[in-house]
Amino acid sequence: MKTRLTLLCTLLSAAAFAAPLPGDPAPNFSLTDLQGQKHSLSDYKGKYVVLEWNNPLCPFVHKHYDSGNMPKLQQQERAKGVVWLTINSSASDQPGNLPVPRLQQFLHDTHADPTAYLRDPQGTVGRLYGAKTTPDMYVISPDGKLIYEGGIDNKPTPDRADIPGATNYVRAALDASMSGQPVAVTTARPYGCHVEY
Amino acid sequence: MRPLRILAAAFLSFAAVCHGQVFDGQQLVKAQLLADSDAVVPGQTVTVGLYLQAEQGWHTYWQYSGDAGFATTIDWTLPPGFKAGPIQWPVPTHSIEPGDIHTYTYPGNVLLLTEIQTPASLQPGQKIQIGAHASWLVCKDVCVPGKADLALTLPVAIPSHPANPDLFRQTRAQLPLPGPAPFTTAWSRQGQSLALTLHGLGAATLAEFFPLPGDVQIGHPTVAGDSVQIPLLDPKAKAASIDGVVVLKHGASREIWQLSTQPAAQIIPMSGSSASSSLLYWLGLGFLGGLILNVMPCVLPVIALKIFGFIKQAGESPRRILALGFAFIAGIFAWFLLLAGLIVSFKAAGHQLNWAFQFQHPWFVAAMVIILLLFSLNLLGVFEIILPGRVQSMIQDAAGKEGYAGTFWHGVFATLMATPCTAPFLGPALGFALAQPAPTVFAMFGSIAAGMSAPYALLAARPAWLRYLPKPGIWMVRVKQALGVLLMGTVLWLGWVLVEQFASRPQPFPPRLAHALAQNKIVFVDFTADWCVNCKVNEHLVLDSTPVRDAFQQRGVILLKADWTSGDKDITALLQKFGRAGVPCYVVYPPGGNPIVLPEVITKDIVLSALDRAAG
Repeated sequence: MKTRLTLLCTLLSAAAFAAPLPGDPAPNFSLTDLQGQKHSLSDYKGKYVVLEWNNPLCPFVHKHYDSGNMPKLQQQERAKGVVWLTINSSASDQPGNLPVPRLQQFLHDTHADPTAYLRDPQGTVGRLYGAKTTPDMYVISPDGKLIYEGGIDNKPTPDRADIPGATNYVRAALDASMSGQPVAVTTARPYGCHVEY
Repeated sequence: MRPLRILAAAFLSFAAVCHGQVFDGQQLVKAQLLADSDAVVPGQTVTVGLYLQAEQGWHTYWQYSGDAGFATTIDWTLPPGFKAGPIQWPVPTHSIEPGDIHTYTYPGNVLLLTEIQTPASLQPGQKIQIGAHASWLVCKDVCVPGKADLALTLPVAIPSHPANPDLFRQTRAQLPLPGPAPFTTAWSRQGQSLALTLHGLGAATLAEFFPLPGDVQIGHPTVAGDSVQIPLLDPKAKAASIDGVVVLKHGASREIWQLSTQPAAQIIPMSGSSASSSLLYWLGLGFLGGLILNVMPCVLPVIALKIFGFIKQAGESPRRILALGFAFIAGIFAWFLLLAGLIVSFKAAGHQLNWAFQFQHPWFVAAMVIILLLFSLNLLGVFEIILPGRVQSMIQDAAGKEGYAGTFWHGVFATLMATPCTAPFLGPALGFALAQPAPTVFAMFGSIAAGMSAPYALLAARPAWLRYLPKPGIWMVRVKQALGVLLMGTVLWLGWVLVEQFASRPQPFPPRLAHALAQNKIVFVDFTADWCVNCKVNEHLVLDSTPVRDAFQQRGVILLKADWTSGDKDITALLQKFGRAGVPCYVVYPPGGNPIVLPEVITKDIVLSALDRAAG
C-alpha cells in the first residue's frame, strides 16, 4: 500500500510538472535579453520560433559554435523569418552564468546571430520546457505547437568532425514544416553538459 | 634473483604510457591502462582495464550517461589475432542535479574492464603491445572533454601471475553477476510510461534500476517497491521494454543483475501475456483437437448414424439436412461453451478465495501432472471412464426427439455421451484453461467445438461425401493409444519442470543455520517475511544503517535471513523455540554460546550492544 501511494504521488507530481512533448502547445514565458529588453514567446505568435539552450563554457556548445555550425543555422533560418531565442538557464552561483560583457564577447567571437540571447538565472523557463542539456533544442510552429524537441543532431559526441555527417534535426523539422510536410523526427535524445540550474 | 624478476614484471605491467588532461593547469583525469596479470598466456584472455582517476569532485559517465553527459569510449589497437570484448561497466552512482537532471556517473576513480582474447600462436618471450584511444567527459559544475592515447606492453609467458589484484577484485565486485537472474520480469506499457515489475525476489528488495534504453528516449526511472516506472519521452514510441541493470538488496549485501531484453523464461510458454499470437495458437490447437476427437471410438461410429438420421428426417430436401446439421452443431457448441463458462466462473470464485491458477505455482503444476497422468493411462487403455446410468437414460430419451430443437439437444447429449473418449483431452484442456484469461478460454473451447463439428458441417452440406468417411475399426484404438503416449510425454515433461522448480527453491533453513554456526563467528538471524511491514521497516532503518552495517563487517558477523513468507515449518518451529508467534524476530548467536533474542522493535543501539555482548 505504502509503495503504491508513493508511486501515485510521484506520478501525480511528475504529471503536474511534466515538460511539454512534441505536439503539445509551447508554454509562454518572458525573459530579458542582454540589452535589458523583455521578450515573450507570445510576441512571436504566427512565426516559427527556435529555442536553443546555451552555456558558453560547455564543450558541446563549443563543438557547434567554434565550427560555425550553430551560427550558420541561426543565419539561414532567420533569413526565412524564424525567430531564434538562445537561452542561458545557468543559476547565479554557477560558472555558466557569465556576466553580460562575456556573453556578448562569446556571441561576437563566434559570429552568432540569434534574435535575442535571453538570461534565465532562476531556471524557470528551463524547467518549464524540461531542458536538460546544453545544447537542447525546441522548435515551435506558428500555431504555437512544439514540432521538435531534443538534441540538435544525431551524433551525440563532443567532436566537431562529427558535424558534417550528422542529420541536423532542427533544420529538418523547419524544412519539413515550412513545406507542409509532417516532421519525420519529432524528438531525439538531447546531448551535452547538464543545464546548470 | 627472484626480487629482480618481480621488479621486472612489475615494471613491464605498469609500463603504460599515462596521459592526463589539464584544465586551468589542474590535472583533471589521469588515464592509464592496467592489466590483471603480469604476462599474457598464449590462447588465454587477459583483462585490461582503463583506469580513470578524476580529481576530487569530478566525475565521468556510465555507458548510458542519463539526461546529460557523455559515456567513456575506448577504441583498441591490437596485434593480429587479438580480440577485445565490450567494456564491462561497474555499477554507477545515480546522480541527481537541480532541474531534475538524473545522470549515471563514476565520481572519482573507475576501472573499465575489457576481456582481450589472445591467440594460441604466441611464443613465450615475445612482447606484445595493446593500444587504446580513450575518450571521456569529466564534469563537476563545468564539463571538460578528455582523450588519451594509451599503450600497455606485456610479455608473453607461462604461467602469468595476478597484477593489481585488489583493484581488479574490487571492480569485479561492482559488475553485474553472471548467469540468468533469479527473478522474472514483467513489462507493461501504461500510456506514456513503461512499467517493469520484478517477481520472485523473495527476501531481497529492489534498490536501484539503471536503464539502458538504447534508442528509446526515456525520462529517469522511478523505483517503488518491486516496480520501476520509466517515462517515455517520444509520444510515438513503440517500445515494450528496455534493458537495464538492477541492484537488489539482501539485508546488508547487494546483488547486481543485468536484464536482457529477452523475455524471462516462464515455466510454460503458453501462459505468457502476449495477446494475439497466443490466441491464434489456442484457436489452431483447439480446432485440431476437436477434429482429432472425431476419431475416437465413441465418436466416429456415431457421425454416420447421425447424418443418416438427418436425411431420414429431412427427406429429400438438402436445405433441411443442412439446417438439421447446424442445429446439431449448435448443440455441440452449447455444451463446450457451457464448459468454458463453468471454467471462467470457477476461476472467478477461486480468485475470491485467493487460489492461484498460475503455472508459476508449484502446486498447480503438480495437480496438472496428476490429471494428465490419469488421462494418459485412460488413453492407453489402463481403465475406462463410464457415464453414470442416469445420464445414459437421459441421452436415450433425447435420442428420440425430432425437429430442430430436438436435434439441438441431440447435439448436446451426443457430445456428453462422447465424454468417456473426450475426457482425456477435455480434462487437461480444462486444466490449461484455468491459467488463461476468460476470452482465451471461450476461444479455446469454441474452437474445439468447431473442430468437432467440422465433419457434421461438411457431411450435412454434402451427404454424398459420407462414402469418404473412414470406416470404424481397430485403427481407432491405435490412434487413441498413440495419443496416450503423447500425453504421457507431456506428463514426463511437466514432471521434470516441477522438479526443477522445487530444486530452485531456497535451501531449508536448519542446515543453513548449522553451517553458519559452525564458522565460529557471530551469527545474526533476521526472521522476516515479504508481507511483514515491521520487518521491512527494521531492515531499512536499523539493519541497513551505516553503523550497524559497519559493525557487522568489522566483527565478521554472518547475517542470515529466515524467510517466513510461505510459513515454512522449520522456521515456525524455531520461532516457537524463541517464544515467538511470528515475525519480526532477531536472534544473535555468539560463537559457541547461547542465542540472544532481541525485542521486536529494534534500534541501532540494541543491535550494537547485542553484538558487544556476543563478542565479549
